[in-house]
Parts: sequence; C-alpha cells; structure tokens
Amino acid sequence: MKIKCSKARDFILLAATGELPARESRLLEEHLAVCKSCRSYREQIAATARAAEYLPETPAGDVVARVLAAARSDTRRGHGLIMPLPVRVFAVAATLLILAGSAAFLALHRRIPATPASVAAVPAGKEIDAELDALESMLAMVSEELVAPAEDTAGQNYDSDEIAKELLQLEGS
Amino acid sequence: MSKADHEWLAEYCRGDLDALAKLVEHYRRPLYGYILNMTEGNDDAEEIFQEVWLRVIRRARFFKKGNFPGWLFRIAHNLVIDRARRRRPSASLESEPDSYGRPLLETIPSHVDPPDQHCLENELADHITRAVRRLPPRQREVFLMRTRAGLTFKQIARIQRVPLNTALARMHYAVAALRRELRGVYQEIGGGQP
Repeated sequence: MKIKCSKARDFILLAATGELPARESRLLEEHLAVCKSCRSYREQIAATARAAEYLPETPAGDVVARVLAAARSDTRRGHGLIMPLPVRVFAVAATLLILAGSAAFLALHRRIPATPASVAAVPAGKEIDAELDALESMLAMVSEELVAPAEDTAGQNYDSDEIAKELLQLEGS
Repeated sequence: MSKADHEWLAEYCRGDLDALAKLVEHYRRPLYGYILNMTEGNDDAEEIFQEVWLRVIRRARFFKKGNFPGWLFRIAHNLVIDRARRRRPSASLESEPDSYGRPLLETIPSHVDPPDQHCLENELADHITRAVRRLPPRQREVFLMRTRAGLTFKQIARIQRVPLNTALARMHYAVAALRRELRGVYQEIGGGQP
C-alpha cells in the first residue's frame, strides 16, 4: 500500500514524537525510499528544530527562587499539601464533631417555640414563695395607704373628724 | 529526571519543597521559552511563568498520575490566552484581514527585541526569534510546544482543543513559513535543504 506525500509528511511529524504506529512507520519508510521531496521535508523539520534551539528561553535567575518562595508561603498556609493520615483523620473527626454539635444546637432551639419573656422568666420553688411574699407586702402597704388619712399638699396629716368639729365651732360662734 | 513528574509532585504534596524545585528547574527553560515567545518577549513573561507554577502548587494534590507536561502547558496556554484577551484592542488583529486577506497580526513584524542579552548579541538567534514571533499565534504555539517543550502532537491538539490533523497542519504551515524566512540560516546552523 502506498501513501501520498501529504500523508507521508504527517507521518514524518508523528514519527519524530514517537506517535506513529509500527505499520504506518513501515509505510513511511517505503515512501521516503522513493520520494526525494519528502526526504527533503524531513530534513527541514530537523533544521527547524535546530533553529528553535536559538530561541531565548532563559528566565532571570531569581524567577525560580520567587516561585519557590511563593510555594514556601503556600506551604505554610497548607495549600496543595496532603496531610499525613492521622492528622487528616483528626481534622475530619474534629470537623464532624463541630458540625454535629452545631446541628444539635440548632435542632433543639428550633423544637422549643418562642416564649414570651414574662412566662419564660417565671422562677421556680423558693423563688416563687419569695415573690409571693413580696407581692403580699406590697398589697398590705397599698391597703394601709387606702385607709390612712390623706396628705395635704403641704404634706401634713389631717383628721376629717377634727375638721368637722372646727366647722361646728365656727357655726356656733 | 530520575523520577517521574507525578512522583516529584506527590513528594511536594507531602511537604518536600526540594521536589518542587527539581520540577521547576526541569521545566524552566521550555516553559519560560514557550511563554516568552508567545508573549513576544514582553515583561509579563516572568509574571505568567510564576502564575503557572502557583496554579500548579495550588492544584498539585488534585493531579493524579498522568501527563504532567500536558497539564503544565495547558495552564500556560490558558494564561497566555487570557493575557492576549486582556490586551486585545477592540478590533482583533487575528481576525481582521489586510488587503490580501491575511490576518493583520501576521503582517506586523515584531519590533520587540528579546530581553535575553545573549540573544541580542547573536544575530542568528535574533533572526530566528523574529521569524518565529512573526508566525501566527496558533502556529507559533504548536511550533514551540513541539520543538521547545517536547510535547507530542496529541498533547498539543488536546491543549489547543483541535483535532490532531489541525495541530499537524499548523506545524506544516509553521515549518513552511520558517523555511521561507530562514532560508540562509538553515545552512548556517547546519543541515537542511531550504
């Protein structure tokens, strides 16, 4: 089987990179044996590769150092690194624990409906008794005030019976 | 390198910075050469070079045994494309044709000298550099990835997201263009019939 020059030139490129299968390599060799133009093309490819070696390609010396400095900095932050197995297990366990705790806390607080502050603040046991005593004493004070003589604007106490006696005396005089 | 790339990367992931240093050093010249020639020798080549490695560092633990250079150059390719998009004027030089129907970018010679002092002193290297930088970007990329980075055409096709035949065709075009540009140079550097 013969191949055309266009195919042979593709094969020349692929052969240079080791990408040409054995069967195609044999076809190429057969073609090159009889085709001067393709042999010349193969030479051109080689010359082009030699020319490419003259291209500038050297970075400043400190570029590599800068890359490594950046890598060192990233390493400190843990980028790109694989932690040893025990550290990984611990990290995963700690993370799961924190997540489980957070989830339980949220679930608990969602289950109890929101309560008014007055109800939520009701104390229990002895505290209730103390509160009741305080309320009773407050009621007693209020009752005493209600039955006690009123104060005048000047703040002095007065007796309604005495006022009545004074009025009678004034009428009699 | 005695170890495979993925093994060095795995060692770095376990905290060995020297392993990363070996990897950076191993790919320093081809990777930097690719970036430098894809960015026409601009100052941001070093910035892109560093950014490529930072991305490698940050994604290292996700890299499994596989094609490390393909991955590395894929990252570089994406950064080079991003840079070109950021810098692209409203009318694209790649898409706007000149009066002969060629993309404008192909018609503009590179007037940016390569920063490498040794190359500036070397007329031959300067000539070759200019010729390569005059290649259309996609052809130049295939050429650089093949000749400087040593990638296979399958890897290059995957990086450029094109069929294998397209990657091969771009290489053919690049070889033909360089042959025209470097007719005398080929004889000077030995071998090759122009």
